[in-house]
Amino acid sequence: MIKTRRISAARLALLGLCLTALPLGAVGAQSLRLVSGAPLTLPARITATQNDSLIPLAKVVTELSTLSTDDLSGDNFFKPGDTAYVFVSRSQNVVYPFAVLRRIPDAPSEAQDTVMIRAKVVSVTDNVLSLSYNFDTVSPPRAFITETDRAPLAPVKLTLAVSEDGRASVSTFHVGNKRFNQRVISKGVVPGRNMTMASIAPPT
Amino acid sequence: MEKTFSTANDNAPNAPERAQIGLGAAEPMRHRRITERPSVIISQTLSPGIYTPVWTPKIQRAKPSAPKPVSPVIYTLCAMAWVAAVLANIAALLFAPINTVHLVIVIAAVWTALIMVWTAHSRGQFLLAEMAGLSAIAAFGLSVYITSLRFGIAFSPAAGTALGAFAAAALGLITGSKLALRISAFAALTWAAITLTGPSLDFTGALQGGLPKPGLSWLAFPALLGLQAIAAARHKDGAALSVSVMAAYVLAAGGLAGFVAAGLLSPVLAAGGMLLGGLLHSRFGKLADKTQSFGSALHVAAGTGAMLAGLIALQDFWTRPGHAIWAGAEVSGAQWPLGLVTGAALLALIFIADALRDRMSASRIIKSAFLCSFAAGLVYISARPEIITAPLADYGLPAVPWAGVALAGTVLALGLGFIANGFRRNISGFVAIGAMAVAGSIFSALPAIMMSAETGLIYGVSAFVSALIAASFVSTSSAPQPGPVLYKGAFAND
Repeated sequence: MIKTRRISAARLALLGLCLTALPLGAVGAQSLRLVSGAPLTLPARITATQNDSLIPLAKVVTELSTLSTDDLSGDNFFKPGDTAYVFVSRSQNVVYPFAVLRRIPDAPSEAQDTVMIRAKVVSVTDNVLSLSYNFDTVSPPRAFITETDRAPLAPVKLTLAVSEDGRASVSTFHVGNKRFNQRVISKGVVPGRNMTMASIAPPT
Repeated sequence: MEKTFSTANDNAPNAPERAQIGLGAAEPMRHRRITERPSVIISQTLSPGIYTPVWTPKIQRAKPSAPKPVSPVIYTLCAMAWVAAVLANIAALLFAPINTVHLVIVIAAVWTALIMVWTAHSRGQFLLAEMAGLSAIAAFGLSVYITSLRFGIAFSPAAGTALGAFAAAALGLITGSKLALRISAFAALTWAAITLTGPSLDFTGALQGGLPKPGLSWLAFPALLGLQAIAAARHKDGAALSVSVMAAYVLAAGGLAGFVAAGLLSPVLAAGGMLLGGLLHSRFGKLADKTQSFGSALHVAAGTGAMLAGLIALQDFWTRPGHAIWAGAEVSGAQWPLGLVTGAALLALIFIADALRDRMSASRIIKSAFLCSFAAGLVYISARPEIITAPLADYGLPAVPWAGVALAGTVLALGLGFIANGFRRNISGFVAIGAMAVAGSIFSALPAIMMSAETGLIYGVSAFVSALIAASFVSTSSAPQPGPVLYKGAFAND
């Protein structure tokens, strides 16, 4: 006679769905943002790297990390912990912030070259905001960290994909002339075929 | 007109006894097999006052049948799928397939492990079910790791540990796996340590411009600890409950220490918070004690320990306020609203716990009001010591260290009382915590006690009066209570 004990299969299935939804949701949201987000390339500085751990990590500082409200339009009063929406213009290959607001404006910007990025105010000193973004700590490919260690003076740039709600993900890391793509969901490839599509027309 | 009342009666006499007291004919044995709880039908006829109890069998709803074990074929197939998924994950870690495939492999391991848990339970293979549950937790942790490593989504170590703790707690709650519960408890402890030592705990500006804004960690921690407490109580796992309570106190004490170190909170308010928080935990533990809830003694012990620690800290403040640890003890203007709101909320909860415990009896209300007033007054006076130092100085009486010595006497009385309570109820944790409190208090206050004959006298009188007051709070009889239902070597239940 087998001694048995009943446990709820429905609850176990619900747990399985939750455990599955988390990684799939994270990967799906990230991939969607990388595919559909507005591209924005920023000069960056790598302040710390961790390549010998289980997960490679790098801390990134960009020119958007510190902003003075005296130089920008929008709101002037921020408290630590507030959410700030930084508006960046990327016209004519020049990227610069021009406004910072405490809330998303009701009417979206009609300018096609404007990108809004969500940030969190870390501190405020003499109208200078110290901001943190969700790409401050990234998990780049190990080769990127190796390259920054090998060529510490090489300029580093990040290409972000910014979704409409202001959340940004790094799509490409640049060190000098080398670029390291952030990982996205791989596309199935029929053997013998190349389904990679170029996003930029080749030089003529 | 006839009304029929059917009442379950656990104290129903046996057939011979019924025959003796004239309750009718003996119940047929076949009926007694039908039900374990015979019922009494009282027929109220048109002549009120004449009741004719009739013994009838109560038709009980049939118990749910035992789960039907899955067939050996399905069981074997599930086991093979589970083993294959585990092997596939090992191979994926070694050979690193494309990221999408790797994620699918990991998720397959989660599902096969959960299915294996269910089938193993179904067939009574509980050890195998525990192993499968362990592999499910590991596979989930691996999925978080793979998401970070292969897809570039940076989950911090704290976030990964927290997610693993939640997953293990949920699995333990559903399946009753003590292994999962204990993994969850230790993961919570690890999460607390990472949160306190890592950069995720941001004290910067926490008290500037109003109430602090809690981050996700501060909201998720109580949810996790509550889930663990529910699961541990439901499945009677005292070890998991102990570690969960420990994690809660590590986080609370570390958080308070961090705020003090950052200069955002007065150490006096931190000590007062520990005193009131511990008192609240202890009172709710006593409330749980009354309902014989699992782990009530643990809550009483932990809460009393925290309360005595807060009391010893305030005693230290009143005996040597010039020490370096009390630098910045002045309560700034921004801290007053937060301190008053928090203190009032804690005191209200303490009062509610006491009221629920004794159903608002007059004596309990008086005792609880006295207790709340004493605690609130002590914290308030410590935050504004000039309230008593200046008037006493007019009479040439030194509030320092006399107030500290008096508090040391109170700690001595409470500690000894807790030790005695531990011996009476055969709970070693009470004895240990009481002994530590007495030793810590004496160690801290001994120079002040030995300063003069007056301080020694104050210490003795304070201890005596405190003991008398504490004795008046004891509402139970002095007869030894039944020994606690212990889990191995600790005091999860009493």
